[in-house]
Amino acid sequence: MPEVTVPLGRKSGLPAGEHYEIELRDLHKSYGDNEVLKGIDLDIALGEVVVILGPSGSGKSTMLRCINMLETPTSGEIRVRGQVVDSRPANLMALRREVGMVFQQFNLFPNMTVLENVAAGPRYVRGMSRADSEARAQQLLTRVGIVGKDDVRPTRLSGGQQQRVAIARALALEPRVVLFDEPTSALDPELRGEVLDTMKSLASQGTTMAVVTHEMSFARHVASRVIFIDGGVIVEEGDPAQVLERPKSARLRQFLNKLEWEND
Amino acid sequence: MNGGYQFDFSAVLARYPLFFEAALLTLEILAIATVASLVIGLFAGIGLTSERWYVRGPVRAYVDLFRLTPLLVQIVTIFFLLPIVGITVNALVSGIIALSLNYAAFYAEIFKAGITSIDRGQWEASRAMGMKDSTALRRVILPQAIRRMLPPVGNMLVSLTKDTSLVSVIGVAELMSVSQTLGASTFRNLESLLVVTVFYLAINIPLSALVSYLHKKQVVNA
Repeated sequence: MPEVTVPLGRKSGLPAGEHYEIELRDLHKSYGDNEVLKGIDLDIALGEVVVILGPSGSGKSTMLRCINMLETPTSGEIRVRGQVVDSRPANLMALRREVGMVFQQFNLFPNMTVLENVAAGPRYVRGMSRADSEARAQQLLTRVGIVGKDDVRPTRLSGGQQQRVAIARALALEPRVVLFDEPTSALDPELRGEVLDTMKSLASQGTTMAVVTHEMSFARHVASRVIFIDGGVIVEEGDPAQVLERPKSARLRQFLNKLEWEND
Repeated sequence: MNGGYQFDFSAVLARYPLFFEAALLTLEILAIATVASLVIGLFAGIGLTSERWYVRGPVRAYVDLFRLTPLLVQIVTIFFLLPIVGITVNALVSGIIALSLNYAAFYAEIFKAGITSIDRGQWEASRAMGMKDSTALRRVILPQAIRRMLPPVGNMLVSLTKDTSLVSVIGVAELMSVSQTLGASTFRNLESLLVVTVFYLAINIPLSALVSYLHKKQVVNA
């Protein structure tokens, strides 16, 4: 995988009168007495690639899953392009069509072929015809480099291929933002590159992305902004070079040292 | 030693068309009750997985009522109860209703187990793309759940074949009933019972073979 030194995602900053793609305001989430998110504020602008780092249990995945309401926040506000999201079903469906998601465990549908997986959103959510939805699915599969596997069951593919199909599936409804929840964590090291390359090419095409990951090289070279979450709050955020090379907080320094140690 | 009993099938076999008619009726009961109980069981099973207590509660009460009381009692009770609540149907329909409600209660549990056995991630992936829960259930969850349910459903079919004999108590002229009638009129009760035994086997051996086939197929695909 070629080294890219210039961040591919666009920088943040918003022309007047425009909305952020996603705004989180004072987001809290508790499970019983356990408060996982303790007030998260985050804006994601069009074309940004935001990488979210943090130790396990820090709340980073919970935060990501709040963005498309797979977890219902205890309090706080979520806006997608200025529109406040609540848990009324119609509102929820509208939100989720705008926000695609890629999961750690792929979560492809084993009862469908590769092509049907990618066509499922357009077909069953948007009511597109079978022919149209599959034509679109085919384009997307080509885009993620999965060719000639249309009629194969996803379980027959390698983990890396499955995750690329899952990325194509997430793109099928033409979302404004794609969320990635540790997309390479379930993969063998030699299969991570192909998924990261696919993500990198999405970023270079201007896709707005929020990525929870431990892939430091992706954070360094692709992110337009890096966010470090610990204990349910955003501890540090900013330019990848700044956050990763000159961490201000002791907690982030400790986290980065540990990652480096583990990656060696 | 056979206690001096002389087997003689001639009187019973001479009336063989009656057995075939009865066997057809047994198959009819089997088919209708299976379809009805699977449909009721599907909805009741989905009801059992509901997060709303006012959906889950009544369904649970129905399922337990039919699962935890004897089928024979249900058949007779329903037969006498239906006319009182203003539903006049013949014994055959009454029997089919009782068998269907009873088997649906068990199918509800099988559907519930099938649905809840599917990985959460399948729901999450469906919801994350904006699918309604009903769409996710139909397109993603149930197709996977039903594959896992095939062996237990097959076992229920085998079991229902046998349980159709219970509707003989309300006078439905199915296999068991005919064997009793013929046995009484020819004084060859045992021969008559042995003949219907063969008929039940003729229905259930293929069904049972189908179940083992499905089981094997599932193990291979797992």
